[in-house]
Amino acid sequence: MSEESDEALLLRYAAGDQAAARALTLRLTPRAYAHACRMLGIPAEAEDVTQDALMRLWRVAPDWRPGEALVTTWLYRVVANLCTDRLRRARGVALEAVPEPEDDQVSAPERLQQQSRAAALQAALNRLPERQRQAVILRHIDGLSNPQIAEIMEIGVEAVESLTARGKRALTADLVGKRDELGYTDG
Amino acid sequence: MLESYFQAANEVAPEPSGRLMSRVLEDALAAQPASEALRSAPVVGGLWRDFLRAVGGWPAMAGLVSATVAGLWLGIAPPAALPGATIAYLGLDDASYPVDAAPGLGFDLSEEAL
Repeated sequence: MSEESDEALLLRYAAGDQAAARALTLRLTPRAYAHACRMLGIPAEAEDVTQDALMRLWRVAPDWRPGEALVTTWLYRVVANLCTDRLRRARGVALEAVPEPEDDQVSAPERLQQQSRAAALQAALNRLPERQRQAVILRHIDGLSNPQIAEIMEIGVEAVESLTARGKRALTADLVGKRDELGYTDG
Repeated sequence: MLESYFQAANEVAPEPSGRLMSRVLEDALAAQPASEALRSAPVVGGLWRDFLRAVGGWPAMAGLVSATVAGLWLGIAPPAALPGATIAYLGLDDASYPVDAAPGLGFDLSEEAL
């Protein structure tokens, strides 16, 4: 059985179906939050952005025009815009100094290493220009296609390719110095 | 090299707290338009309320229901004495005949029967 599309759920939500409200919350909140977290690097701020972005989705639902845009594209765009607003307001704050998310679980060494790598990547992402950061996250972490990223960022596909290429070069240069520190020997 | 970092980032993806999920769901339900069924419900309730008010509220409604049930019962199973009493009242069992004392009223009882 195929999974019901985000758009179908949104239309059911707009018709007053509470089950659709729950399904959309479960499906979209983790994606919006993860993207906001990676863009901002601050979980508390990412929570506010996520709640704000989804509130905008709930409000626009009755006027949603089927087939015009993917719900996820719309949501990523709103999340990105809200993150950009916050980053501009917070300019000057050393984002790389932001504490990492807490994890109460006792981790195996391998998981610790993965966490270290993820934290190093996040710190390097925080040092990228906003547009490069957004393009790299959408392409290489969220796994979206270049045309979808182009739609989210409201630029051409070539511009997306250029942003991700420059972003990846900058990340590589930034992370090379961390490899020995992280016990990174597998390339 | 970068691919391994991206893979690590995916494996330890930030996850929303239960508190955030609850807040988002509360927002969703609070902002949700009412369903068609819910939208039509107040109209029905309004008509019913208007009717109740017009007949005098619940006590009057109880009287109406009692009278309706009693009438229905009499129609289904009339008491055995009723036809005879009615005939006697109307005086149709003797030689009297109906007198229309006031033709303008349309229907009158036989004066002999009274």
